[in-house]
Amino acid sequence: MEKSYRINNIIFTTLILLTLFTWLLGQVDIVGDITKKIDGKIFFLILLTIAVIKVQLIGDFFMHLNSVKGFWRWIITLWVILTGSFIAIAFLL
Amino acid sequence: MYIQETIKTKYPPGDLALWIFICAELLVFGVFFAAYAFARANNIELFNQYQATLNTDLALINTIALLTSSYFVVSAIIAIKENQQQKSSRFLLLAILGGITFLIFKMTEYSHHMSEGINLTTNLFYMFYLSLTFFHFMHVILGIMILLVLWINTRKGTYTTEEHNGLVSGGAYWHMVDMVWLILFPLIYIMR
Repeated sequence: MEKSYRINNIIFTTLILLTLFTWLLGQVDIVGDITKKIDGKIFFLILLTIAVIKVQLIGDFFMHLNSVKGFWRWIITLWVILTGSFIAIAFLL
Repeated sequence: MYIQETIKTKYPPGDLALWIFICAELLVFGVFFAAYAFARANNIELFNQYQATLNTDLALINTIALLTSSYFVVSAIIAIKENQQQKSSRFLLLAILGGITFLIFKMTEYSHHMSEGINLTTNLFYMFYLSLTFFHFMHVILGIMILLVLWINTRKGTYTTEEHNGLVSGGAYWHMVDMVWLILFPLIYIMR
């Protein structure tokens, strides 16, 4: 059980760090001068990738879908990839 | 116990009916997110202009509050597997406090918008922002009510090492609420 707590702590710390990184990216004035240095599409893709990773971590380790096989193993992955794809199409095309 | 946890099962932990409900909820949120993204694609300047008026600091605090709350729910389930009911109920209480923190900060945001006369009819951005976040807000309230029931049951000793299906199911719903916010936060507050 100590191992379960340890895994829980590692996943939680990773989620918090990724959240702080997302927030930091939000502080970048992409519409202002910095836009010339940072491609808006790359900025968007980084944010989307972080969000997808965070959702997958919650699904796998907090909801314990990593201990499931077959269709249900991939239900959250399927949702986040579908939703992420629609968002990406709308933002990038 | 560790060997038991590494064996892969056919169905997710908790009630399967609740998982079907979670899937339906995720589908609805997914449609809303896509609708927001496509509406933005036709009004990029408007969405960027009004997105800049949102408070990303409060959104960050709310994200941390929900993640921390989910962390405590997982800890409560680990504790019950160790047959530590008191420890589990303490973790659940902390999870509830995380949810209440979210509600308080979200209401602070809403009251700020209302004081500025912002409502659903102000513009398309605020229509999406208010309806999406309020829809999620209602789910947080339902999630807290579920956590309260789990906390009461844990205090009464309803859950044991062998039987804690209700706790796992309620926890899965709470993680879903958290998960939806993890997309909502960057989509509405950050992405531009």
